Amino acid sequence: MRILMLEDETTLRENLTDRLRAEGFVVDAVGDGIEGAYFATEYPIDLAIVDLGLPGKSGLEVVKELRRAEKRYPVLILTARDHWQDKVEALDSGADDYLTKPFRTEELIARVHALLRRAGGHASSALEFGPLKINLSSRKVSLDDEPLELTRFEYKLLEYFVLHPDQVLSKILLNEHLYEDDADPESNVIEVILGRLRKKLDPDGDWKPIQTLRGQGYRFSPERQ
Amino acid sequence: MTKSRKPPSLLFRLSLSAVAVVLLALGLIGLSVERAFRASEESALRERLESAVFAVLAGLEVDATGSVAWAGAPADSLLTRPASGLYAGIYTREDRWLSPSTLGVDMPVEKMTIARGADRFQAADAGQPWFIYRLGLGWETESGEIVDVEVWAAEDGTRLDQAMASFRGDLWRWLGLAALVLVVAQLALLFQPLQILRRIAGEVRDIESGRRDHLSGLYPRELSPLTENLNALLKTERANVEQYHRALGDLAHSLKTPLAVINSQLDAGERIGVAELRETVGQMQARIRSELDRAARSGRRTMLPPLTVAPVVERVVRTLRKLYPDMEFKVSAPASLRANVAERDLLEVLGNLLENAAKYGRNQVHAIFDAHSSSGRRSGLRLRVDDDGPGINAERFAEMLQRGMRGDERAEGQGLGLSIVQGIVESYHGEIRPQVSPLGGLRVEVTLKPS
Repeated sequence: MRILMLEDETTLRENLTDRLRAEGFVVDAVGDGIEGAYFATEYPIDLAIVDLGLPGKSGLEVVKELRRAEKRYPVLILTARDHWQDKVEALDSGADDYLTKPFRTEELIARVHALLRRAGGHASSALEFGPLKINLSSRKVSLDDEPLELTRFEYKLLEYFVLHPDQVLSKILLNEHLYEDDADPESNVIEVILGRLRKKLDPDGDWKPIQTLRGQGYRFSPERQ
Repeated sequence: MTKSRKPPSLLFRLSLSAVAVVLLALGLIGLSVERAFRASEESALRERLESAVFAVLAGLEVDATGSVAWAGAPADSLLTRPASGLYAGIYTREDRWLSPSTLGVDMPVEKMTIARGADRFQAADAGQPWFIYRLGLGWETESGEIVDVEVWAAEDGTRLDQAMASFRGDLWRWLGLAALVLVVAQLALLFQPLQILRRIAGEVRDIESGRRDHLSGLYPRELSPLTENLNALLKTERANVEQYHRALGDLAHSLKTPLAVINSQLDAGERIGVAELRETVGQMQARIRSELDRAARSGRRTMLPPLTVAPVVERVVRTLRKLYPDMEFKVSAPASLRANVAERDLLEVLGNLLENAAKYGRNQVHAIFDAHSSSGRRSGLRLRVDDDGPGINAERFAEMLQRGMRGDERAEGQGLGLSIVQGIVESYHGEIRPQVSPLGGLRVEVTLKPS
């Protein structure tokens, strides 16, 4: 999951970026509105966290701009203003949620997860796909009610699939959304991790939750029970 | 680009109408005086002609053959002066006599036209310029015979025309002068109230530049609504500015103490514990909120324009639907509902009440709006927000109105939202009441009086 962190206050931006990375997110951290608008419209972003008072271009303008560019990913606004007039303006501009400064980092992380979950079309954070159970908040995964141990990258990959069900996801797209720096498109890291994930999810080979579409990519479409 | 034209000045409009009224009135007066003058001139002329006829009759002699002789000297010397303008004559069937004044004048009276015992007055008209009075009578001669005689007197109409012309000239000259005097007097009268308006404008300028702080009360009664309202507005604004200054001062002051504590700890080289720092930060946060809350509570609102309620409600609900996608929000607000309430305040009241309802409700929130305590053209607002949550009793609700109190840890900040709403409601001299909702949960009813 690739998050755009748009905040001009350096300490806050760095702290939040570190925390989000620790949560397994890929983060693009930007400190001004003009560069932020460029990232927001040109990068494969899954969610943007936008501070309202930015130099160069205001946060509201950045949000309006990315919505005009038909970007549909969720946007979380950060601001020190807590009047309803400001909230209404922020959400009218196209943002999806709103967090008033000062806030606890846990609150921010929880909102980010909730927004991603909602954008993936899930009402609750406890998801079930056949024998597979995933809790997006606690990040616990179980198979046939047995806890399943996944590595950090395996979980990231599974989470991305779960939040984009029934969509064909190319290797390049997965690379962009799951790796910090532009990975070598020829690299087979994704294939290797995917192979391990498939083995863990479907040890007997009779379920096949993740299908390969030759020349196009992969699709997570498990039969739900 | 079309340039919007400035409306003409009051002085210009008023002068224009003053001149128009004076001209119209004096014109009508002039015309009627002229008519009256002509009528009285004509009746005087007729009397003059009649008396000339009787003067001529006094010296008349007619013999049995009908030949006319005139014995007496004409009573009116005008009859003896040739072309004097007054003429007379006596006709019988056989003879005629003409006054000496007719010498060289082509008289219009040719022959007898009038019967015995009759008389006729003929005014000058377009066809002929003479005023003529004729009297027909039977004259008994010495021999006892009756002879028909016609006596007439005439006056040239041009004399009357000249008199009229000279009168008319005088009349219009004087009326013109009167018009001038009246217009000048009107303008002088108009100038005075305009001068008062200029004085108000001057005082407002002085207020703007800080040379005075309110309008003097020395204005005519009719203008006092204007000046008093302006003064009230100024007073409110000053009070608000003072309030903001005080609130900012209070806020800065309340933050400085915890900051000083942290500074002193840093200076002493102490390690500050996370828990301790968090508590201080929490305190600072609470102070900021309570000071801002207090500032909102005491801000005064005057003469707000009417606000159409439905679109504002729609904006808040649209926002809340994003924040609480699983909650069903229903709104009953008449499209025509308008209230004298600030948009900012309505957004704040609605946002807080609806968000509380969304936090506590299970599936649905309903907001109902109608007009309340309207006086004249200013209208207040009543709003009721229902949820289908667990509800709350009156004592608990009252506690939650106290600042900073929270109704439930599950939905953090409920009490704060309510106390902000209460602050705004107080500034509108309104009321906030908990009730049992038809949906089963809490209904909060808020009334705002027009401001």
